[in-house]
Amino acid sequence: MNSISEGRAAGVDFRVLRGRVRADRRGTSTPLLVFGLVTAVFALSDNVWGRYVPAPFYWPMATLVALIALGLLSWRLALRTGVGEGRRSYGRLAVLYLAGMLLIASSWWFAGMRPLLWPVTALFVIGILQRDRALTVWSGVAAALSLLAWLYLLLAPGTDVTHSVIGLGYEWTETLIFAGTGVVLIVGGALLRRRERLVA
Amino acid sequence: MSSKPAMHPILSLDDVVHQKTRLALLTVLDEAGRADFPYLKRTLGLTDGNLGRHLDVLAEQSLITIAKGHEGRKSRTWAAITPDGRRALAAEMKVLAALVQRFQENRSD
Repeated sequence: MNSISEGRAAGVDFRVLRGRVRADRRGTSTPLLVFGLVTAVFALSDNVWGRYVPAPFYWPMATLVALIALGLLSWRLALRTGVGEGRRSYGRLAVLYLAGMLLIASSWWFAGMRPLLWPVTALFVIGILQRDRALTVWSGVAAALSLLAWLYLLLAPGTDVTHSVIGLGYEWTETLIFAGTGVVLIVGGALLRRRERLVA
Repeated sequence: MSSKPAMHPILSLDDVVHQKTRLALLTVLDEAGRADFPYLKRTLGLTDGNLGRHLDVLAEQSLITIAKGHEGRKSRTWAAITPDGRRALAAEMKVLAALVQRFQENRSD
């Protein structure tokens, strides 16, 4: 995006206009809040109630749930306020994501990458596709923090069921990292929702 | 033999897109994907007639599509940007950027 499309030309203030539409769509805060909530709930349910889908599909499934929830919310908002879903509709993204997930279901991605990266990576990609700087930055920060926390958990001595980083044991520490990622997203969403209300 | 002078960027402006209201409409629709008439009127401070006229011009050039539907007993009209509309807006931004750059270069000479 060049300086004109962010600034003012031909009597139109593009930056203000785009910012207002994005605020009307709640385009930055809603994805952060939905992904944050889904991540936190999935993290807690993993440890408290046990997994209800097979392990390799657990976080990819959480991501799909978040995308479908976002699609329904933005569809309802469009009917209520008259402003559309934006550059890429979440419904279409959910279908593309599901197709991609099924295509690479047995690839190294599931085995080699930590599953928590699925939701934050999806959110980061949404930010880029929708050219939403705040969403990209916030989800990128959440992804970096969760990756660092996960690396610390992996590299810390005694990585087994007796492992304890902060005296909680391995499983609860893992849950704390997962749920913490969700909380970071929720806090970001709440802060940005306040800003959107001022702009809209 | 003299080389052909470079065309001034102002000659590349598309009159359909460059008009202030239509440029604003395309910018809103580029960000929203689609929007209904009341939202466009409210956001850009336009009257019914003014909005309808500009949307017709954009629709004639296939830069947007207009879909009329019903919600219960109320009719609702949505305008959505097309791929051609996004391309035309991007091209306009490029020309405007070139104009600003040229202006700044001339001023610093």
